[in-house]
Amino acid sequence: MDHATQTVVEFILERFAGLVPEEITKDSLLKDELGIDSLRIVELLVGLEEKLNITFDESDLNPDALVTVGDVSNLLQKYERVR
Amino acid sequence: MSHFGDLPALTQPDGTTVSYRNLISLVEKHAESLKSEIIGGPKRIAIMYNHPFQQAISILSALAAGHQVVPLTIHYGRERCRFILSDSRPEMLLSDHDVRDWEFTIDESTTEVPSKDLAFLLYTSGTTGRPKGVMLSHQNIISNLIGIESYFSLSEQDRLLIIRPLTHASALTGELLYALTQGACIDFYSGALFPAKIVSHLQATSCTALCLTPTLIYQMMRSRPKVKLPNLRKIAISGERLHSNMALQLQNYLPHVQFFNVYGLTEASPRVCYLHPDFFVSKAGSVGVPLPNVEVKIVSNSGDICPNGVIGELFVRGPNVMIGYWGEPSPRNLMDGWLCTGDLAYMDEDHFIYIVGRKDDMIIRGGVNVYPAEIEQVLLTHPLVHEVIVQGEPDPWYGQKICITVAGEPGLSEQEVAHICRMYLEPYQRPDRIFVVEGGLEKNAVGKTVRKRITDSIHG
Repeated sequence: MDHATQTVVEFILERFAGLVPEEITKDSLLKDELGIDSLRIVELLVGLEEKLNITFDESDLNPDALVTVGDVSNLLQKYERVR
Repeated sequence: MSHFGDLPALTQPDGTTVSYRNLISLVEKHAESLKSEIIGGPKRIAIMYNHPFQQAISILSALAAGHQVVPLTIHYGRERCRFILSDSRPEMLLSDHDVRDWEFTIDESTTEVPSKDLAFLLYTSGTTGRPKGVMLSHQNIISNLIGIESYFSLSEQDRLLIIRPLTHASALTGELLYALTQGACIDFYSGALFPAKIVSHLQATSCTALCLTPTLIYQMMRSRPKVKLPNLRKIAISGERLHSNMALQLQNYLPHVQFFNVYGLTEASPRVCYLHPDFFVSKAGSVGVPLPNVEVKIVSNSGDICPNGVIGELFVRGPNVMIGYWGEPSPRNLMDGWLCTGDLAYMDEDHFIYIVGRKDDMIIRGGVNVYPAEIEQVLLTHPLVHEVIVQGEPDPWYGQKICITVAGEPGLSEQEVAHICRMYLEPYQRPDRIFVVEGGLEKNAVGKTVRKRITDSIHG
Protein backbone atom coordinates (compact mmCIF):
# COMPACT_ATOMS: atom_id res chain seq x y z
CA MET A 1 0.00 0.00 0.00
CA ASP A 2 1.48 3.39 -0.93
CA HIS A 3 2.23 6.01 1.68
CA ALA A 4 -0.71 8.27 0.85
CA THR A 5 -3.22 5.40 1.05
CA GLN A 6 -1.65 4.21 4.30
CA THR A 7 -2.07 7.70 5.73
CA VAL A 8 -5.71 7.86 4.72
CA VAL A 9 -6.42 4.39 6.09
CA GLU A 10 -4.75 5.17 9.42
CA PHE A 11 -6.71 8.38 9.70
CA ILE A 12 -10.00 6.64 8.97
CA LEU A 13 -9.26 3.97 11.58
CA GLU A 14 -8.43 6.66 14.10
CA ARG A 15 -11.53 8.74 13.52
CA PHE A 16 -14.37 6.39 12.59
CA ALA A 17 -15.69 3.63 14.80
CA GLY A 18 -15.65 -0.08 14.25
CA LEU A 19 -13.44 -0.42 11.19
CA VAL A 20 -10.46 -2.78 10.90
CA PRO A 21 -7.45 -2.40 8.61
CA GLU A 22 -8.29 -5.57 6.70
CA GLU A 23 -11.57 -4.17 5.42
CA ILE A 24 -10.16 -0.94 4.02
CA THR A 25 -8.56 -0.98 0.60
CA LYS A 26 -7.93 1.61 -2.03
CA ASP A 27 -11.15 0.53 -3.73
CA SER A 28 -13.32 0.73 -0.61
CA LEU A 29 -16.35 2.93 -1.15
CA LEU A 30 -16.33 5.70 1.43
CA LYS A 31 -20.08 5.98 1.91
CA ASP A 32 -21.55 2.62 1.01
CA GLU A 33 -18.87 0.39 2.54
CA LEU A 34 -17.21 2.46 5.23
CA GLY A 35 -20.20 4.58 6.29
CA ILE A 36 -18.37 7.83 5.66
CA ASP A 37 -21.20 10.06 4.50
CA SER A 38 -20.98 13.62 3.20
CA LEU A 39 -20.70 15.14 6.69
CA ARG A 40 -17.95 12.71 7.64
CA ILE A 41 -16.09 13.22 4.36
CA VAL A 42 -15.79 16.88 5.30
CA GLU A 43 -14.49 15.83 8.71
CA LEU A 44 -12.01 13.50 7.00
CA LEU A 45 -10.65 16.19 4.71
CA VAL A 46 -10.52 18.92 7.34
CA GLY A 47 -8.77 16.46 9.65
CA LEU A 48 -6.23 15.49 6.98
CA GLU A 49 -5.51 19.16 6.30
CA GLU A 50 -4.81 19.73 9.99
CA LYS A 51 -2.80 16.57 10.53
CA LEU A 52 -0.62 16.99 7.43
CA ASN A 53 -0.48 20.78 7.43
CA ILE A 54 -1.76 21.07 3.88
CA THR A 55 -4.57 23.12 2.33
CA PHE A 56 -6.72 21.50 -0.31
CA ASP A 57 -7.63 23.78 -3.16
CA GLU A 58 -11.38 24.12 -3.36
CA SER A 59 -11.34 22.92 -6.96
CA ASP A 60 -10.26 19.54 -5.58
CA LEU A 61 -13.16 19.42 -3.12
CA ASN A 62 -15.70 17.72 -5.33
CA PRO A 63 -17.81 15.15 -3.48
CA ASP A 64 -18.64 13.39 -6.75
CA ALA A 65 -14.95 12.76 -7.29
CA LEU A 66 -14.29 11.46 -3.77
CA VAL A 67 -16.01 8.11 -3.82
CA THR A 68 -13.29 5.66 -2.77
CA VAL A 69 -10.38 5.61 -0.39
CA GLY A 70 -8.19 5.71 -3.49
CA ASP A 71 -9.73 8.99 -4.60
CA VAL A 72 -8.73 10.57 -1.29
CA SER A 73 -5.22 9.08 -1.36
CA ASN A 74 -4.73 10.29 -4.97
CA LEU A 75 -5.71 13.74 -3.80
CA LEU A 76 -3.24 13.50 -0.95
CA GLN A 77 -0.46 12.36 -3.29
CA LYS A 78 -1.05 15.41 -5.45
CA TYR A 79 -0.39 17.65 -2.45
CA GLU A 80 2.50 15.63 -1.15
CA ARG A 81 4.21 15.96 -4.52
CA VAL A 82 3.79 19.74 -4.38
CA ARG A 83 5.31 19.98 -0.89
CA MET B 1 -41.11 44.86 -0.73
CA SER B 2 -42.11 47.17 -3.60
CA HIS B 3 -40.36 50.18 -2.08
CA PHE B 4 -37.01 48.40 -2.51
CA GLY B 5 -37.41 48.91 -6.26
CA ASP B 6 -34.29 48.07 -8.21
CA LEU B 7 -32.25 46.85 -5.27
CA PRO B 8 -30.96 43.28 -5.75
CA ALA B 9 -33.22 40.72 -4.08
CA LEU B 10 -32.36 37.12 -4.95
CA THR B 11 -29.41 35.53 -6.69
CA GLN B 12 -30.25 33.15 -9.50
CA PRO B 13 -28.44 29.87 -10.27
CA ASP B 14 -26.32 31.63 -12.93
CA GLY B 15 -25.09 34.17 -10.38
CA THR B 16 -27.09 37.15 -11.65
CA THR B 17 -29.53 38.87 -9.35
CA VAL B 18 -33.21 39.60 -9.63
CA SER B 19 -34.25 43.02 -8.37
CA TYR B 20 -37.07 43.46 -5.89
CA ARG B 21 -39.18 45.00 -8.66
CA ASN B 22 -38.65 41.99 -10.90
CA LEU B 23 -39.04 39.57 -8.01
CA ILE B 24 -42.46 40.96 -7.26
CA SER B 25 -43.45 40.67 -10.95
CA LEU B 26 -42.20 37.10 -11.07
CA VAL B 27 -44.02 36.13 -7.91
CA GLU B 28 -47.25 37.80 -9.03
CA LYS B 29 -47.08 36.04 -12.37
CA HIS B 30 -46.58 32.64 -10.75
CA ALA B 31 -49.28 33.37 -8.18
CA GLU B 32 -51.79 34.18 -10.95
CA SER B 33 -50.89 30.94 -12.65
CA LEU B 34 -51.50 29.02 -9.41
CA LYS B 35 -54.83 30.77 -8.90
CA SER B 36 -55.99 29.70 -12.31
CA GLU B 37 -54.85 26.12 -11.80
CA ILE B 38 -56.27 25.68 -8.33
CA ILE B 39 -59.85 26.77 -7.90
CA GLY B 40 -61.41 27.47 -4.55
CA GLY B 41 -60.04 28.36 -1.14
CA PRO B 42 -56.55 27.88 0.29
CA LYS B 43 -54.89 24.63 -0.66
CA ARG B 44 -51.72 22.87 0.43
CA ILE B 45 -48.91 22.97 -2.09
CA ALA B 46 -45.80 20.85 -1.65
CA ILE B 47 -42.68 22.45 -3.11
CA MET B 48 -39.42 20.67 -3.86
CA TYR B 49 -36.93 22.28 -6.21
CA ASN B 50 -33.29 21.49 -6.56
CA HIS B 51 -32.02 25.06 -6.46
CA PRO B 52 -33.10 27.28 -3.58
CA PHE B 53 -33.85 30.16 -5.96
CA GLN B 54 -36.66 28.20 -7.62
CA GLN B 55 -37.75 26.95 -4.21
CA ALA B 56 -37.94 30.52 -2.92
CA ILE B 57 -39.92 31.81 -5.93
CA SER B 58 -42.42 28.98 -5.64
CA ILE B 59 -42.84 29.45 -1.90
CA LEU B 60 -43.44 33.18 -2.28
CA SER B 61 -45.83 32.61 -5.18
CA ALA B 62 -47.85 30.01 -3.31
CA LEU B 63 -48.16 32.32 -0.31
CA ALA B 64 -49.12 35.23 -2.56
CA ALA B 65 -51.84 33.08 -4.10
CA GLY B 66 -53.22 32.42 -0.64
CA HIS B 67 -52.13 28.78 -0.34
CA GLN B 68 -50.29 26.84 2.35
CA VAL B 69 -46.78 25.65 1.71
CA VAL B 70 -45.25 22.25 2.49
CA PRO B 71 -41.54 22.66 1.71
CA LEU B 72 -39.55 19.55 0.87
CA THR B 73 -36.00 18.82 -0.15
CA ILE B 74 -34.64 15.83 -2.04
CA HIS B 75 -32.00 15.62 0.70
CA TYR B 76 -34.66 14.25 3.04
CA GLY B 77 -34.45 11.03 1.08
CA ARG B 78 -37.20 9.33 -0.79
CA GLU B 79 -38.89 7.61 2.14
CA ARG B 80 -39.16 10.74 4.26
CA CYS B 81 -40.48 12.72 1.28
CA ARG B 82 -43.03 10.04 0.53
CA PHE B 83 -44.14 10.04 4.15
CA ILE B 84 -44.54 13.81 4.20
CA LEU B 85 -46.48 13.82 0.95
CA SER B 86 -48.77 11.04 2.13
CA ASP B 87 -49.30 12.68 5.50
CA SER B 88 -49.79 16.27 4.38
CA ARG B 89 -51.95 15.33 1.38
CA PRO B 90 -51.13 18.39 -0.73
CA GLU B 91 -53.31 19.23 -3.67
CA MET B 92 -50.30 19.98 -5.83
CA LEU B 93 -46.59 19.20 -5.92
CA LEU B 94 -44.30 21.73 -7.59
CA SER B 95 -40.96 20.11 -8.31
CA ASP B 96 -38.18 19.72 -10.84
CA HIS B 97 -37.48 16.18 -9.63
CA ASP B 98 -38.91 13.16 -11.39
CA VAL B 99 -41.08 11.56 -8.74
CA ARG B 100 -43.26 9.43 -11.00
CA ASP B 101 -41.95 6.21 -9.51
CA TRP B 102 -42.36 7.32 -5.91
CA GLU B 103 -45.75 5.61 -5.59
CA PHE B 104 -47.76 8.19 -3.74
CA THR B 105 -51.00 9.93 -4.67
CA ILE B 106 -51.89 13.57 -4.46
CA ASP B 107 -55.27 14.16 -2.88
CA GLU B 108 -57.15 16.29 -5.37
CA SER B 109 -60.34 16.42 -3.38
CA THR B 110 -61.21 19.44 -1.29
CA THR B 111 -59.75 19.03 2.18
CA GLU B 112 -60.75 21.23 5.05
CA VAL B 113 -57.83 23.27 6.35
CA PRO B 114 -57.73 23.68 10.13
CA SER B 115 -56.98 27.39 9.92
CA LYS B 116 -57.34 29.91 7.12
CA ASP B 117 -54.31 31.65 8.56
CA LEU B 118 -52.13 28.58 7.97
CA ALA B 119 -49.01 29.53 6.01
CA PHE B 120 -46.60 26.63 6.38
CA LEU B 121 -46.62 22.98 7.21
CA LEU B 122 -43.00 22.32 8.22
CA TYR B 123 -42.05 18.76 9.02
CA THR B 124 -39.83 18.16 11.96
CA SER B 125 -39.01 14.90 13.64
CA GLY B 126 -40.86 14.39 16.89
CA THR B 127 -39.48 12.57 19.91
CA THR B 128 -39.84 9.21 18.19
CA GLY B 129 -38.16 10.35 14.99
CA ARG B 130 -41.38 10.12 12.97
CA PRO B 131 -41.85 13.43 11.10
CA LYS B 132 -44.61 15.69 12.38
CA GLY B 133 -46.11 18.59 10.44
CA VAL B 134 -45.81 21.82 12.40
CA MET B 135 -48.59 24.22 11.47
CA LEU B 136 -47.35 27.80 11.38
CA SER B 137 -49.72 30.67 10.70
CA HIS B 138 -49.02 33.93 8.95
CA GLN B 139 -49.28 35.60 12.34
CA ASN B 140 -46.70 33.21 13.79
CA ILE B 141 -44.25 34.11 11.04
CA ILE B 142 -44.88 37.86 11.10
CA SER B 143 -44.45 38.03 14.86
CA ASN B 144 -41.15 36.15 14.59
CA LEU B 145 -39.91 38.47 11.84
CA ILE B 146 -40.62 41.42 14.13
CA GLY B 147 -38.74 39.69 16.93
CA ILE B 148 -35.72 38.91 14.75
CA GLU B 149 -35.52 42.50 13.54
CA SER B 150 -35.08 43.58 17.16
CA TYR B 151 -31.59 42.08 17.22
CA PHE B 152 -30.27 41.02 13.82
CA SER B 153 -31.02 44.29 12.01
CA LEU B 154 -30.15 43.56 8.40
CA SER B 155 -30.49 46.42 5.93
CA GLU B 156 -30.46 47.18 2.22
CA GLN B 157 -26.66 47.23 2.38
CA ASP B 158 -26.51 43.61 3.46
CA ARG B 159 -25.97 40.51 1.39
CA LEU B 160 -27.07 37.37 3.20
CA LEU B 161 -25.75 33.95 2.25
CA ILE B 162 -28.29 31.17 2.83
CA ILE B 163 -26.67 27.75 3.19
CA ARG B 164 -29.42 25.64 4.71
CA PRO B 165 -32.35 24.27 2.75
CA LEU B 166 -35.55 26.30 2.78
CA THR B 167 -37.29 23.46 4.61
CA HIS B 168 -35.68 24.60 7.85
CA ALA B 169 -37.77 27.12 9.77
CA SER B 170 -34.55 28.93 10.57
CA ALA B 171 -33.66 29.39 6.89
CA LEU B 172 -37.23 30.13 5.84
CA THR B 173 -38.25 32.65 8.50
CA GLY B 174 -34.95 33.74 10.01
CA GLU B 175 -33.12 34.17 6.75
CA LEU B 176 -35.19 34.28 3.54
CA LEU B 177 -38.35 36.04 4.70
CA TYR B 178 -36.54 38.24 7.19
CA ALA B 179 -33.96 39.43 4.64
CA LEU B 180 -36.71 40.22 2.13
CA THR B 181 -38.49 42.42 4.66
CA GLN B 182 -35.27 44.40 5.09
CA GLY B 183 -34.40 44.88 1.42
CA ALA B 184 -31.24 42.83 1.74
CA CYS B 185 -29.83 40.82 -1.15
CA ILE B 186 -30.00 37.05 -0.74
CA ASP B 187 -27.36 34.74 -2.11
CA PHE B 188 -27.87 30.99 -2.08
CA TYR B 189 -25.09 28.46 -1.55
CA SER B 190 -26.12 25.18 -3.10
CA GLY B 191 -22.80 23.34 -3.41
CA ALA B 192 -21.25 20.67 -1.24
CA LEU B 193 -20.77 21.72 2.38
CA PHE B 194 -16.99 21.82 2.26
CA PRO B 195 -15.92 24.66 4.53
CA ALA B 196 -13.23 25.76 2.08
CA LYS B 197 -15.84 26.18 -0.65
CA ILE B 198 -18.10 28.19 1.60
CA VAL B 199 -15.22 30.46 2.52
CA SER B 200 -14.40 30.94 -1.17
CA HIS B 201 -18.02 31.71 -1.92
CA LEU B 202 -18.08 34.29 0.84
CA GLN B 203 -14.94 35.89 -0.50
CA ALA B 204 -16.18 35.91 -4.10
CA THR B 205 -19.61 37.32 -3.32
CA SER B 206 -18.72 39.75 -0.52
CA CYS B 207 -21.57 38.52 1.63
CA THR B 208 -22.05 40.48 4.83
CA ALA B 209 -24.12 38.02 6.85
CA LEU B 210 -24.85 34.33 7.20
CA CYS B 211 -26.40 31.81 9.54
CA LEU B 212 -24.83 28.44 10.19
CA THR B 213 -24.27 25.69 12.71
CA PRO B 214 -21.35 25.61 15.14
CA THR B 215 -20.03 22.53 13.33
CA LEU B 216 -19.72 24.37 10.05
CA ILE B 217 -18.05 27.47 11.43
CA TYR B 218 -15.60 25.29 13.38
CA GLN B 219 -14.73 23.44 10.21
CA MET B 220 -14.25 26.74 8.40
CA MET B 221 -11.97 27.88 11.19
CA ARG B 222 -9.93 24.66 11.10
CA SER B 223 -9.78 24.41 7.33
CA ARG B 224 -9.08 28.06 6.56
CA PRO B 225 -7.65 29.50 9.79
CA LYS B 226 -6.06 32.54 8.17
CA VAL B 227 -8.93 33.64 5.97
CA LYS B 228 -9.85 37.28 5.77
CA LEU B 229 -13.51 38.03 5.18
CA PRO B 230 -13.53 41.81 5.53
CA ASN B 231 -17.06 42.24 4.21
CA LEU B 232 -18.61 39.81 6.66
CA ARG B 233 -20.21 41.64 9.55
CA LYS B 234 -22.81 39.34 11.14
CA ILE B 235 -23.01 35.60 11.82
CA ALA B 236 -25.94 33.92 13.55
CA ILE B 237 -25.08 30.54 15.02
CA SER B 238 -27.87 28.04 15.58
CA GLY B 239 -28.98 24.44 15.18
CA GLU B 240 -26.92 22.85 17.91
CA ARG B 241 -25.21 23.69 21.17
CA LEU B 242 -22.30 26.11 21.00
CA HIS B 243 -19.72 24.96 23.51
CA SER B 244 -18.56 27.81 25.68
CA ASN B 245 -14.86 27.21 25.01
CA MET B 246 -15.48 27.80 21.31
CA ALA B 247 -16.84 31.31 21.59
CA LEU B 248 -13.50 33.00 22.18
CA GLN B 249 -11.86 30.99 19.40
CA LEU B 250 -14.56 32.05 16.95
CA GLN B 251 -14.33 35.69 17.96
CA ASN B 252 -10.56 35.60 17.52
CA TYR B 253 -10.99 33.90 14.15
CA LEU B 254 -13.17 36.71 12.81
CA PRO B 255 -12.66 39.59 15.24
CA HIS B 256 -14.58 42.13 13.15
CA VAL B 257 -17.74 39.99 12.99
CA GLN B 258 -20.71 40.27 15.31
CA PHE B 259 -21.59 36.76 16.46
CA PHE B 260 -25.12 35.99 17.59
CA ASN B 261 -25.83 32.68 19.29
CA VAL B 262 -29.51 32.04 18.71
CA TYR B 263 -31.98 29.39 19.82
CA GLY B 264 -35.28 28.27 18.51
CA LEU B 265 -37.39 25.38 17.35
CA THR B 266 -39.70 24.82 14.42
CA GLU B 267 -42.70 24.84 16.74
CA ALA B 268 -41.82 28.46 17.65
CA SER B 269 -41.48 29.75 14.07
CA PRO B 270 -38.56 29.30 15.05
CA ARG B 271 -36.71 31.99 16.98
CA VAL B 272 -37.03 32.10 20.77
CA CYS B 273 -33.81 33.57 22.20
CA TYR B 274 -30.72 35.41 21.06
CA LEU B 275 -27.39 36.29 22.61
CA HIS B 276 -26.24 39.78 21.71
CA PRO B 277 -22.66 39.96 20.30
CA ASP B 278 -21.59 42.07 23.28
CA PHE B 279 -22.05 38.95 25.42
CA PHE B 280 -20.85 36.32 22.94
CA VAL B 281 -17.63 35.76 24.89
CA SER B 282 -18.55 36.96 28.39
CA LYS B 283 -21.68 34.79 28.45
CA ALA B 284 -20.14 32.11 26.24
CA GLY B 285 -22.45 29.19 25.58
CA SER B 286 -25.59 31.07 26.56
CA VAL B 287 -28.46 31.47 24.11
CA GLY B 288 -29.18 34.83 25.69
CA VAL B 289 -32.57 36.30 26.36
CA PRO B 290 -35.98 35.86 24.76
CA LEU B 291 -37.11 37.98 21.85
CA PRO B 292 -39.10 41.03 23.00
CA ASN B 293 -42.44 39.45 22.05
CA VAL B 294 -41.67 36.03 23.51
CA GLU B 295 -41.94 34.76 27.09
CA VAL B 296 -39.94 31.89 28.54
CA LYS B 297 -39.91 30.05 31.83
CA ILE B 298 -37.92 27.15 33.19
CA VAL B 299 -40.07 24.55 34.86
CA SER B 300 -39.19 21.65 37.15
CA ASN B 301 -40.67 18.18 36.89
CA SER B 302 -43.16 19.13 39.57
CA GLY B 303 -44.35 22.13 37.56
CA ASP B 304 -42.69 24.83 39.64
CA ILE B 305 -40.63 27.67 38.22
CA CYS B 306 -36.95 26.86 38.73
CA PRO B 307 -34.80 29.33 40.64
CA ASN B 308 -31.74 30.77 38.87
CA GLY B 309 -29.09 28.18 38.31
CA VAL B 310 -31.45 25.23 38.57
CA ILE B 311 -32.06 23.09 35.49
CA GLY B 312 -35.58 22.51 34.26
CA GLU B 313 -37.50 22.30 31.01
CA LEU B 314 -37.72 25.45 28.88
CA PHE B 315 -41.27 26.59 28.14
CA VAL B 316 -42.08 29.24 25.53
CA ARG B 317 -45.15 31.40 25.01
CA GLY B 318 -45.88 34.06 22.43
CA PRO B 319 -47.43 34.85 19.06
CA ASN B 320 -44.68 32.76 17.47
CA VAL B 321 -45.89 29.47 18.96
CA MET B 322 -47.42 27.09 16.43
CA ILE B 323 -51.11 26.40 15.85
CA GLY B 324 -50.42 22.71 16.53
CA TYR B 325 -49.27 19.62 14.68
CA TRP B 326 -50.96 18.46 11.50
CA GLY B 327 -53.52 15.90 12.50
CA GLU B 328 -52.92 16.76 16.19
CA PRO B 329 -54.12 20.29 16.77
CA SER B 330 -54.07 19.91 20.59
CA PRO B 331 -50.67 18.33 21.18
CA ARG B 332 -49.47 17.34 24.63
CA ASN B 333 -46.54 19.73 24.48
CA LEU B 334 -48.81 22.79 24.15
CA MET B 335 -50.56 23.73 27.41
CA ASP B 336 -52.38 27.02 28.00
CA GLY B 337 -50.37 28.66 25.25
CA TRP B 338 -47.08 27.41 26.66
CA LEU B 339 -44.93 25.29 24.38
CA CYS B 340 -42.95 22.65 26.24
CA THR B 341 -39.73 22.56 24.23
CA GLY B 342 -38.22 19.37 25.63
CA ASP B 343 -34.96 21.28 26.06
CA LEU B 344 -33.35 21.37 29.48
CA ALA B 345 -32.01 24.77 30.51
CA TYR B 346 -31.17 27.05 33.38
CA MET B 347 -31.16 30.80 33.82
CA ASP B 348 -28.24 32.62 35.42
CA GLU B 349 -28.45 35.55 37.80
CA ASP B 350 -28.57 37.97 34.86
CA HIS B 351 -31.47 36.02 33.31
CA PHE B 352 -29.36 34.66 30.49
CA ILE B 353 -30.47 31.20 29.39
CA TYR B 354 -28.20 28.21 28.92
CA ILE B 355 -29.40 25.08 27.13
CA VAL B 356 -27.85 21.96 28.67
CA GLY B 357 -29.49 19.08 26.84
CA ARG B 358 -32.70 17.35 25.93
CA LYS B 359 -35.40 15.99 28.17
CA ASP B 360 -35.82 13.10 25.77
CA ASP B 361 -32.78 11.33 24.44
CA MET B 362 -32.57 13.06 21.07
CA ILE B 363 -28.99 13.62 19.90
CA ILE B 364 -27.99 16.61 17.79
CA ARG B 365 -24.88 15.75 15.79
CA GLY B 366 -23.59 18.46 13.50
CA GLY B 367 -27.00 20.12 13.48
CA VAL B 368 -28.78 16.89 12.52
CA ASN B 369 -31.39 15.38 14.88
CA VAL B 370 -30.74 11.73 15.64
CA TYR B 371 -33.23 9.59 17.54
CA PRO B 372 -31.79 6.82 19.69
CA ALA B 373 -35.07 4.93 19.66
CA GLU B 374 -34.99 4.66 15.87
CA ILE B 375 -31.45 3.32 15.85
CA GLU B 376 -32.10 0.92 18.73
CA GLN B 377 -35.19 -0.42 17.02
CA VAL B 378 -33.32 -1.14 13.82
CA LEU B 379 -30.33 -2.78 15.48
CA LEU B 380 -32.50 -4.99 17.68
CA THR B 381 -33.94 -6.63 14.60
CA HIS B 382 -30.54 -8.19 13.95
CA PRO B 383 -30.14 -11.67 15.47
CA LEU B 384 -26.65 -10.92 16.80
CA VAL B 385 -27.84 -7.92 18.84
CA HIS B 386 -29.68 -8.62 22.10
CA GLU B 387 -29.62 -5.21 23.78
CA VAL B 388 -28.53 -1.79 22.66
CA ILE B 389 -28.43 1.69 24.08
CA VAL B 390 -27.73 4.75 21.92
CA GLN B 391 -26.57 7.93 23.62
CA GLY B 392 -25.08 11.28 22.80
CA GLU B 393 -21.63 12.29 24.01
CA PRO B 394 -20.59 15.93 24.21
CA ASP B 395 -18.25 16.92 21.42
CA PRO B 396 -16.72 20.36 20.98
CA TRP B 397 -16.89 20.23 17.20
CA TYR B 398 -20.22 18.50 16.56
CA GLY B 399 -22.19 19.35 19.64
CA GLN B 400 -22.73 15.67 20.28
CA LYS B 401 -21.45 12.43 18.85
CA ILE B 402 -23.36 9.14 18.66
CA CYS B 403 -22.24 6.41 21.03
CA ILE B 404 -23.78 2.94 21.08
CA THR B 405 -23.38 0.21 23.67
CA VAL B 406 -24.35 -3.28 22.62
CA ALA B 407 -24.78 -6.63 24.29
CA GLY B 408 -25.24 -9.56 21.97
CA GLU B 409 -24.20 -13.02 20.93
CA PRO B 410 -21.04 -14.29 22.66
CA GLY B 411 -18.00 -13.13 20.77
CA LEU B 412 -19.79 -10.22 19.07
CA SER B 413 -17.12 -7.71 18.10
CA GLU B 414 -17.07 -3.97 17.64
CA GLN B 415 -16.30 -4.51 13.98
CA GLU B 416 -19.32 -6.74 13.50
CA VAL B 417 -21.51 -4.13 15.15
CA ALA B 418 -20.04 -1.45 12.87
CA HIS B 419 -20.78 -3.64 9.89
CA ILE B 420 -24.39 -4.09 11.04
CA CYS B 421 -24.70 -0.32 11.45
CA ARG B 422 -23.41 0.28 7.95
CA MET B 423 -25.83 -2.25 6.53
CA TYR B 424 -28.97 -1.15 8.30
CA LEU B 425 -28.66 2.47 9.39
CA GLU B 426 -28.85 5.69 7.42
CA PRO B 427 -25.45 7.44 7.16
CA TYR B 428 -26.43 10.18 9.61
CA GLN B 429 -27.37 7.53 12.21
CA ARG B 430 -24.08 5.66 12.17
CA PRO B 431 -22.22 5.77 15.48
CA ASP B 432 -19.00 7.55 16.25
CA ARG B 433 -18.16 5.16 19.09
CA ILE B 434 -19.13 1.56 19.67
CA PHE B 435 -18.86 -0.43 22.88
CA VAL B 436 -19.66 -4.11 23.19
CA VAL B 437 -20.33 -5.51 26.64
CA GLU B 438 -20.50 -9.08 27.82
CA GLY B 439 -23.39 -10.42 29.82
CA GLY B 440 -25.98 -7.75 29.18
CA LEU B 441 -26.61 -4.10 29.95
CA GLU B 442 -27.19 -2.91 33.51
CA LYS B 443 -30.82 -2.75 34.66
CA ASN B 444 -32.70 -0.97 37.41
CA ALA B 445 -35.05 -2.60 39.93
CA VAL B 446 -37.86 -2.93 37.43
CA GLY B 447 -35.70 -4.32 34.69
CA LYS B 448 -35.27 -1.15 32.66
CA THR B 449 -31.88 -0.43 31.13
CA VAL B 450 -30.33 2.49 32.92
CA ARG B 451 -28.95 4.93 30.39
CA LYS B 452 -27.01 7.16 32.74
CA ARG B 453 -25.32 4.33 34.54
CA ILE B 454 -24.33 2.79 31.22
CA THR B 455 -22.58 6.05 30.35
CA ASP B 456 -20.80 6.28 33.67
CA SER B 457 -19.67 2.69 33.88
CA ILE B 458 -18.54 2.16 30.34
CA HIS B 459 -17.14 5.46 29.36
CA GLY B 460 -15.80 6.70 32.68
